[in-house]
Order: sequence, then C-alpha cells, then structure tokens
Amino acid sequence: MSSDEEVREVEETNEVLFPEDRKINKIKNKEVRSRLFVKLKRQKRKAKIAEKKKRKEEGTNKPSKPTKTIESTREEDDTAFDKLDEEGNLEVRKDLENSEYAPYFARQYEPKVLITFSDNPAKKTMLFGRELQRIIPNALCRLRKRIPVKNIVESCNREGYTDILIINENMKQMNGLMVIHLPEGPTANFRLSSVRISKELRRKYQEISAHRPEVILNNFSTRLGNSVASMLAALFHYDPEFQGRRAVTFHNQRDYIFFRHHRYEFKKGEKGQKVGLRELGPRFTLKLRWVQSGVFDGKTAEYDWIISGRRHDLETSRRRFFL
Amino acid sequence: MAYKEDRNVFVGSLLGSIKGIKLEKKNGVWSSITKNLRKVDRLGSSQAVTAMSWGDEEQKEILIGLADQTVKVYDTEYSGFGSTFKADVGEGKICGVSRFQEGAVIAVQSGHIKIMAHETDGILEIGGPMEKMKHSSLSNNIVATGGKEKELQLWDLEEKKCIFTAKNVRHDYLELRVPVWVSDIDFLPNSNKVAICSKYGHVRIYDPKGHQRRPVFDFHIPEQVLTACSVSASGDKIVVGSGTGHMTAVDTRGKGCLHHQYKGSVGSIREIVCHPTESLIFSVGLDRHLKVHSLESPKLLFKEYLNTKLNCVLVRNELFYKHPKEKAAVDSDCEIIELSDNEENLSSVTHEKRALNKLFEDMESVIDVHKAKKTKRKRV
Repeated sequence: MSSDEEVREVEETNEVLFPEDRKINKIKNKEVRSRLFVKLKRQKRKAKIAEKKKRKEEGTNKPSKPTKTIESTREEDDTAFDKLDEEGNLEVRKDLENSEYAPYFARQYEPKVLITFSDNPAKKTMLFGRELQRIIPNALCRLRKRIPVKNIVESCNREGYTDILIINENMKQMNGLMVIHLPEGPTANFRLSSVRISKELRRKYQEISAHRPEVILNNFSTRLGNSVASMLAALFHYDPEFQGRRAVTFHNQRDYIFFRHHRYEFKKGEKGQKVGLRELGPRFTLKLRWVQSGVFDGKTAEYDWIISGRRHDLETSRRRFFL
Repeated sequence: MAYKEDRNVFVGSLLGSIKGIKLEKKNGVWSSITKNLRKVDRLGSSQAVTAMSWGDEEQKEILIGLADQTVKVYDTEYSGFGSTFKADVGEGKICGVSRFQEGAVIAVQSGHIKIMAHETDGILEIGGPMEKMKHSSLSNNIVATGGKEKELQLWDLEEKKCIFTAKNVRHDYLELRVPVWVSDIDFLPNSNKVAICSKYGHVRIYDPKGHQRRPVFDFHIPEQVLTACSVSASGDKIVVGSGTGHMTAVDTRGKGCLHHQYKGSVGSIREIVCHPTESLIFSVGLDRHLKVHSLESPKLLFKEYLNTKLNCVLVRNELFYKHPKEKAAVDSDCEIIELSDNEENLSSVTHEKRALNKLFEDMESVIDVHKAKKTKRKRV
C-alpha cells in the first residue's frame, strides 16, 4: 500500500527524486557539520512541539501509561490494609485502638521528647541533635554522659517524657537512630544515612520558627509500616499551628523513609494560586532494622519484627517491601 | 464426632480474640478457613489470651485463661462459650490453666496456684514471678512450674506438696553462677521427664525419678532468648523458638545438637506445638501469623495472617479427621489388620507392654554384683 501511495505522489509532483545523500555525519568539515546538526535538532524540536500543541488543541492527547517500576509491581504483602475484609477490618481497628499509640491519637497527652547521643558525639552529630530539637516541639537535647539506656528510660519515665531519640554514630559518622516510646515501648531502631544539616543546605537555623509543624506520612501500607508511622507521628504535637506554614515529611519509598522539612507559601499567580516551597533542613534517610515490643532491652527482648540474620530469607525479591 | 471434622486449630491473641481454624491439606496444597469465636467489640488488651489447654481427653472443650484472671470454657461440639469464672488470686495474668478432677487448676504470675476441684480445693503459694505452669500428661495430679530465678518445680496437687525441685547447673568456667529464667515447660511423651527452655538460651531435660536434681540433658544456644519449646512425638527432639523469631530443633540424643532452622518467622515466637501423630510443627508469635512446618525440613509449609499478635495455639490430636468408614477403607487397602475401634488398638498396645515388663521382671539382675565388687576394691 505504502509503495503505491509513493508512486502516486511522485506522479502528482512531476519531479524527479534523487536519493538524498546529505547525511550530516558524512560531512568532513567539522564546523559545517556541527552547525548543520544544531540546525537539524532545532527543526526536529520545533516540529515536535508543534505536533504536541496540535494534539492538545484537538483533544486527541492520550494519557501516558503508568510507568512500570518495582513499586508499582510490588509483591502483595498479606498484612496490607487494603486486603482486609469487613470482620478483619473491625478487628484491626480494635487492635489499633488498643495499641500503645491510642492515647496519643485520642489526644490524651502532649508528647515530650528527649534527644540524646552516643558517648562523645562528633560536632556534626551534636548540631543535628540540636536541629531536631528545633523541629520537634517540646523536645530537649542533652549529652549522654555515659548513662545506660535503661537508666535514661527510668528517669524519663519519672520526669514524664513520652519518647526518647538516641542518635548513634560510628567512626564520627551518624549511622543509627533509636526511637523509644515510653512507658511501655515499643522501641524501633533505624539505620540513619545521608544526613545534611541545615548549614550544609545553606540555610540558617533562624528560619525555623517555633510554630508546631504539620506532619506528613506517606506510603506506609502494611501493619509494620503503620506502627512505624504512628511511632514517628507520636514524636510531634498532635495539633499543628498552621500559621507557621511548617511541614515535616516522612516519605516512605521502597522501605527507605526520607525526611524533609519545608516552609510553604501560597503565591498568587496569573493562573490562580500557586504553592511555593522552601526547604529548611535538615534532611536524612531512615531504614528500619528492628522493632522491639517493649522498652529497649539488649539481652532478653522480644522482637515484633527483625531483619538482621534473615535477610536472605526475607529479601527474596526486589519487589518485596515491608513498610 | 462432627466437632472433630470441623475446626482443628485454635489460636488465642494478645487482643483477646480466639480463632478457630479449619486446616486442610488436599493433594499437597494447604488451605484454611478461619472464624473469630469471640465478638470483636468485647476485645481489649485486658482480655489478652495468656493460656489455653484442652479440657478433656476427647478434646471437646477448651480452657482459656485471660490476662484479667478470667477463665473461659469453650465447647467445640456446640461452638459456644460455656461457663466463665475468675481466679481472683494473687496478681498478674494467668500463666497456666488446665482441667483437674472436673474442676480447674489456675496459675497466676505472682506465683499462686489455685485449685478449684470438688475433692481438693485451695491455693498453693509458690512465689513469683512465675512464667509458666504445665500439667503433666502422664499423671493427672502433677503440675510443673518455673519462672525468672525460679527453678523448675513439680507439685502434687492432691497432697499439695512439692515433689521435685530442680537444682541449678554448676558454675561456669569463670566460676560465675548461671542465671535461671524458665520460659516454657513441656513434658516428654510417655515419660516422667520434663523439658524446659530458658530466656538465657538453655534447653534442659530433668528426670524427677532419677538420682540427680540437676538436668540430665543440658544444651546452650548462645545469644538466643528462648521463649517457647515443645517436645516432638518421638521424644528425641525439642523444638525451641526465640525472641528474635528463630525456630530450631535440638536433638536430645547424646550431647545434643542443632537439627534444623525452621524458616519464615520475623517476630518473637510465643508458642510452639509439635503434633503427637503427624510430624508437623505449629507456631504462633508476634508477627501475627500461624505457621506450619514439617519436623523434617526447614521449609515453611503454610502460613496464615490472623490480624493480631498471637500468643497461644492448640491443635487437635486427630488433625485430619477421617470418617470411620473412610478409615476402614484405607486400612483394608494397606492390608493392615483391621481394628474397628481405637480403644481396642490401645488395649493391644498395653497388653504388649505388660508382657514386656513381665519378661524384664523375671530376668535376673546382673549389675548389682558388679557394683558390689567395685565398692569392695575401693575399700581395700
């Protein structure tokens, strides 16, 4: 068919067609070659834009297909919330009502957080702890002074603290974050990586206002993910001050939890309202190592979930995620 | 016998829910049907199921101990809860409950054992903190207890006295005392021996009828917090589960060795049941799954997500119930001597045992002479 059409076209134009032999890469002169190449590129681009515009005006623009990633083709987790039936849903709801975080979500107490370090922290670690103190309302940052975790838990219980954050480091690099919920656990341990304090992001700490921030938790879909998310949420005050326009985000992607801290702004543009974001810092990434069912116990603890020692059994596929 | 065809596994959770599960295996494929036996709106953390046991030998009824010291009786034949009563003794949750003389024995964390029976009644004060109480399968009036810094003890419920107290092992190579924390107890099948596991990683067997109070078998799994143990039907393996979700079989013949690492758990294991006839292991734990393994291979056969953190599991002895007619047909196919009733089968076994016993009793003892000679030499 196509060859017939070509023949007809040739008859209509009555012109002799020569085989085109002006391939740009055959031109020997480099200057001419590059000039022509840039020209050709520009033409192609213009044509593409024009075609796109035309399609948009006609309304024949097809929506692009969802990209296939290892997340969109994720293996189903049997503890995922969207798999529950009606009775299971009721039971899980009851379970959540009886969880350790139920009093927080029922607004029965205001969180009070202690932030501390491993012994002799590096300067950057201390600055990071102090920044966390600025972000988390009602938080206090103190040096560890070689006190065992058990003793810290005891005195924090006495002083009415609700959570403890311990930043751990190895060879002067931050590598761990432990979150202990008081008075009866659970305890979670995260691997801490890619820490950028606000100085490294060229921001000043004075930009962080004292308003209570909003907390955004993204993509936590399983039972374990839910317990981790509520653990992180329970560090912050339940009642954000919206006039501060401050938001902290815990975004879970492929079991890595990314932390970002922003100030947002509503701008008035030509086409209505726009939102401007300014990152305030710090930023860091967390990866869950284990969750203990009680307060931290190094020797005789029972774990809700632990991956160390069984990574080959659990990480059977790249498409399997736990949070 | 309809109840035996119905649910064959029962699971209790830390939220208080009790689930009846009908496990089936057809052509090597496992399937299950789960039903909640309690209404969801009555559940709560004070209702946590902390102990479960069969009420009778027929396995018709289940005794369920809750954290608030309530004992519930569930009848599997009529699928409903029967009587409910409270222990009201000491403090803490129930850590063991079982039938005794048509009444019940209830043990609570503070170290009190309440006997509620027609003939014997009263409270035994053992001292806490108690972690576990188990009823002997061989003699009905003996229970075993243990806990943190509480060695294994066997108690006679009728006479209300302690008949055996274990003794701690010798000090370690640094001359330091080995700490004690009995976390689970199980009786060896058809024997007086008792197996325990401890939170410091010890697996031990005690022989109350023997000469020594120290364990006759002692095995250490370093850096494992053992939380549950169960003896296999043959009695030569103890399956133990740990706080980090490791489940392994310890071979108790000789010095002891690790046999298999059963795969599939991600959270602490709370209870293990080795099936008395099929070579299957059932385990539940904080990862909210019921898991089934074969005793012979580390592979996971079946797992089921049950919504809440699980604490207890009970398995029916006749797991895959066969109707008597079907059973007879299968038996005739295999050319085994047909026995119309189970009881007959049992009685023939006991007959054989008696005959063997008589044979041994009639024999002359040879060892005594040797012993006498040896002692004489020593004196010289």
